[in-house]
Amino acid sequence: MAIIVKKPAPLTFWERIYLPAILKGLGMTMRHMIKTLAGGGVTIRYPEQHKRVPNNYRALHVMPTWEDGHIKCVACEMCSTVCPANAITVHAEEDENPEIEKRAAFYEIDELRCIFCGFCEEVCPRDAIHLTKNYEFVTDNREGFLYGMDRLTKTGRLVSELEAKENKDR
Amino acid sequence: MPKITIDGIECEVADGLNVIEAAKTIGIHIPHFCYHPALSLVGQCRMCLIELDPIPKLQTACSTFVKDGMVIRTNTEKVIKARKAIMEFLLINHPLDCPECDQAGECDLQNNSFEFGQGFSRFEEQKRTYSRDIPVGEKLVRIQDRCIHCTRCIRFFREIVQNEVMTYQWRGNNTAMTPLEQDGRRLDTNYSGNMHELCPCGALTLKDFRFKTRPWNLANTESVCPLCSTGCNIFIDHKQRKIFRIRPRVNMDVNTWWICDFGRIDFGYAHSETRIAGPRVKGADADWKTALDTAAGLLKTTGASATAILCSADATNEEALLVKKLAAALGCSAASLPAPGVDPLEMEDHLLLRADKAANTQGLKALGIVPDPALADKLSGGAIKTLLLINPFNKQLAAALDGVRDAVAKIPNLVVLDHNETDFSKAAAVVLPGAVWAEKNGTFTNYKGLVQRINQAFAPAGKARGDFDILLALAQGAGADIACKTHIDAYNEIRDDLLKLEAQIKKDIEALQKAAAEAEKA
Amino acid sequence: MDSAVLATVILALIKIALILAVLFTGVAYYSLAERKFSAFMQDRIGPNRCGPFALLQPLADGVKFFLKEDVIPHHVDKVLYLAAPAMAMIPAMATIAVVPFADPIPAPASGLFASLGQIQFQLADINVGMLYIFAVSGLAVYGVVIAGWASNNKYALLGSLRASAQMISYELTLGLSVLGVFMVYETLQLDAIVAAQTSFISFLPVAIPKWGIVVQPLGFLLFLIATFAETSRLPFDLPEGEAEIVAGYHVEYGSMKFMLFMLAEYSHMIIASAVITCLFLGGWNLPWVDMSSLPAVQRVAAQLAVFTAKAGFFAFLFIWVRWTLPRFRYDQLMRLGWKVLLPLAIANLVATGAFYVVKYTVGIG
Ligand code: SF4
Ligand code: SF4
Ligand code: SF4
Ligand code: SF4
Ligand code: FES
Repeated sequence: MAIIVKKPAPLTFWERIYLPAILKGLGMTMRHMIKTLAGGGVTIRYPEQHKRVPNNYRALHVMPTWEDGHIKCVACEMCSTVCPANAITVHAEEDENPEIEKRAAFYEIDELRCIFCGFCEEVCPRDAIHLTKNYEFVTDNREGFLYGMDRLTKTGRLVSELEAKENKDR
Repeated sequence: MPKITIDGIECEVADGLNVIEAAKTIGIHIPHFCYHPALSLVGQCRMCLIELDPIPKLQTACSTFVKDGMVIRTNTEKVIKARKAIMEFLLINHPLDCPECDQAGECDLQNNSFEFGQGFSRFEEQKRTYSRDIPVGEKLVRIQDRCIHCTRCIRFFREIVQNEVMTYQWRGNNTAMTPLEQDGRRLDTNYSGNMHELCPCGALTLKDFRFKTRPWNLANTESVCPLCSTGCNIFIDHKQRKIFRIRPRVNMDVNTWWICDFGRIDFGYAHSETRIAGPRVKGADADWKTALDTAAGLLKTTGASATAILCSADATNEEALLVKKLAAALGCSAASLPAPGVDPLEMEDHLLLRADKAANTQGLKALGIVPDPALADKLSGGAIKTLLLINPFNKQLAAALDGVRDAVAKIPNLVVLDHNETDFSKAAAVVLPGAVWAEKNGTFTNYKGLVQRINQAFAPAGKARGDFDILLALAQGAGADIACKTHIDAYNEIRDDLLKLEAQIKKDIEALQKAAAEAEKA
Repeated sequence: MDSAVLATVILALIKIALILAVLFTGVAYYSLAERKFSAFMQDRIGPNRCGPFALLQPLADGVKFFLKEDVIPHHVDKVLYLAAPAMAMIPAMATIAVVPFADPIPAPASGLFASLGQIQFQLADINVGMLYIFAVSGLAVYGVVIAGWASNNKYALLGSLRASAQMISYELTLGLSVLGVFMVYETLQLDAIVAAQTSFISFLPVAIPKWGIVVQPLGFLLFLIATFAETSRLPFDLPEGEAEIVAGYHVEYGSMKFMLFMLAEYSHMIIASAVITCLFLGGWNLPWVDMSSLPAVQRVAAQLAVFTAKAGFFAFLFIWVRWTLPRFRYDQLMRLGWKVLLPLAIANLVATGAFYVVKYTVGIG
């Protein structure tokens, strides 16, 4: 079936000289400028203010431990297998406790490779890896983004701490 | 040839098959745990239940043999329900700790549960557990909690290893497969490692591979075990240019389902500290060009009668061909030294292991590189001034050289091509780092003349190069005009010789067997 | 040396130093203003890290440009490649020589400058001021064209071709549209034009200041539009184009050399604002306000303030328009230049000429 394309009406003289439209546009930008100057900016002034990120926000990982400080990860390599960015390296070793049997001897996430998909958290059968809301972990060298077990068990900022910060800034 | 119908497909299958095997021939998989084609039937796990017209009760496929006119159904509601029930039942006490379990990824229990089981269990009580303190030897890890009581282990040790070391202990729910290490019965047999594949779950796993990596991370290269003349077919499971484990590859003509534990575990020399790091000339590191030029030059210096090539039987057929061509170019002799009293056919135990601890004795023989009894004298007498020694790391060649160790080390123009350091490589004028079998392409001829291909799993470690390439360069340096530039060309050149040998050996073996049978009769 | 000549030279040097200092500071803060105002117009804050209100931002930018590695690609024509930024910069700065900022003040009675009689707020008071501006600013296109050519890069060359075509097209309108102003004030000298605008239109019942914008409204509009095109500001910024020609004529330039192009662009805008102020907005004078009776220093200060405010408005207009309008397509640009603006400019010229013919023959006004 033919599609009937409606031709736009020819421009009137005033439209054709553009000037009124230009003036209208200038008025628009001026209005926004005045509004911003009067304190109506919409941006968040980041280092001073923090955006309230949603609770399912995915940023820096943390590896929870048991109450006694023993790492929860059993080095099953599910996360390194599922990781689409190949960001995780795991090596296993025998745990002295036969109940636990296996634990991670070496665990490292390259946060520069990570795409924060959260698959590792989702796939982990031992609830041993989480993504926190902490997105503030830039450094100026590549090694600084290699998070080993020692840092992963400690550096994830607690969610409550983060929320306190957000609430303060808002 | 009975005609049967499986799931509505009519087919004709061989006599004497059970339903699992019959279904396999038309591509229908019937899940099973206790059945293994090499072991006796016990019909214990009940996973293989099928519907068989007109019998109202479900039958076990493993213990039902095909008969003409049988009508079998493997996918009815009744069967599916039964499988679900069996899976739930098997998992009642199973810890389901796949994250820690080494079997995960190649676990029959896991696979069958995923495919035929259900995602939940109605069992809420405490699961039964076992002590982990029972000693199970150096090769296996036993975690009895995971056992599903298929008794494959019991039958394997009784029927295949012929060392009845596994047995039931306790009864009913508490049944445990326990090794009874007494009266000379040990769990560490030459074949215990096969339980790694045989145990359908993670109850018995290999200690050597424990927690090394996950099976799905490994690449599998088809190869042949180089450790004895049986030539068991194997998979080399490797990752990042490192072997993680060796698994048997089914070949009913050679090793059936098994390999021995030496072949399974002794691959450490491929990654050992003593791998020769790079070419050396007079003890100093050199680049490949210098080393090859120097070696080729040395080989030509002392004239044919004072020059010899000594080659271990670990060389592939293709390398052996180049050795022969090099010898021809130099006008000298190429030989292997016999291990004292080794017959390539001689068995070391009842199953697979052979006394001949080299992979390719028969292949070298076919190409005319045979033991030269006079060579030992010449070596000790100092008549040999120039020697190309290929792979003295091989146990058999090392043993044969034992008596002339010092004499060989004193040979002025000693060129050693090997993958690991030995006394000889330390004394050599030129050292050429070669490859281990996992780093090579080529063929081995096993004890009965069967020519089997080995495939390169990964490139030679560090600066090492393939022996074929090194020998090619040496032969060209010695002035030989060689048409075969790749192992494929080389194989095509020698294929007829090898086939002739195979026929010959077959005849010999038949004659031997006949003689033995007659002797027995008499 | 004759002391009058010496005084002239010294005074000129002082003026050059002062004007350049003001111009460079102006350019620096103009770039900051652009970033700030554009931010405001887009509901943002803009730069706010360097000092209060980011007042140190231009400094930081300058330092950054200085510290950048000075790369010279191996495939360029070295001499021209290095000369091009200077060729863009020099005309931009030279045009400001003839722009007056305030009425002259009497020279101090004694001392070196006494012989000069008066001190002008203008570097060179030449009687063909406007012609000089056209001539010199017309040279600026060479910097751009040569930059594109010397870069030995397709995109740069395309950018510079666009620039030259655009400038040639709009220079015509620019020149023609301003001719009407010369007819009205009967001079090419900028300070004379400013002075002429203090009078009022005499034949009308209400007194209307005789500003260029009043007597030549069409000329003003055409001049303004052509100026946008000459300074290649939006909506006429076709010489640059991230999407289709990577960056434009300066794609191969970095560090200080790039900064010179930026300086040239912004100086052009500042000078254009000043020239428009002189030609059409009565320069430093306000109608009905007589500043000549004030003491010299206050008067100059007041006049400079007025001048700055007027020029500042146009400078702001450049920013304002840039962040309001989308750019033209190239064919639209050409059509507008040749088929609309040029005929209009000629019509304006003819009409003005006709008016004066009538005026002198009939003798009205
Ligand atoms: S973090 Fe979780 S998924 Fe990853 S290895 Fe450890 S237990 Fe397995
Ligand atoms: S979040 Fe995704 S990409 Fe990042 S480590 Fe986990 S699985 Fe890999
Ligand atoms: S035996 Fe199989 S199902 Fe059981 S824990 Fe191990 S991998 Fe999982
Ligand atoms: S240990 Fe393994 S092979 Fe033996 S009975 Fe248990 S599940 Fe079967
Ligand atoms: S396989 Fe048939 S009962 Fe176990």
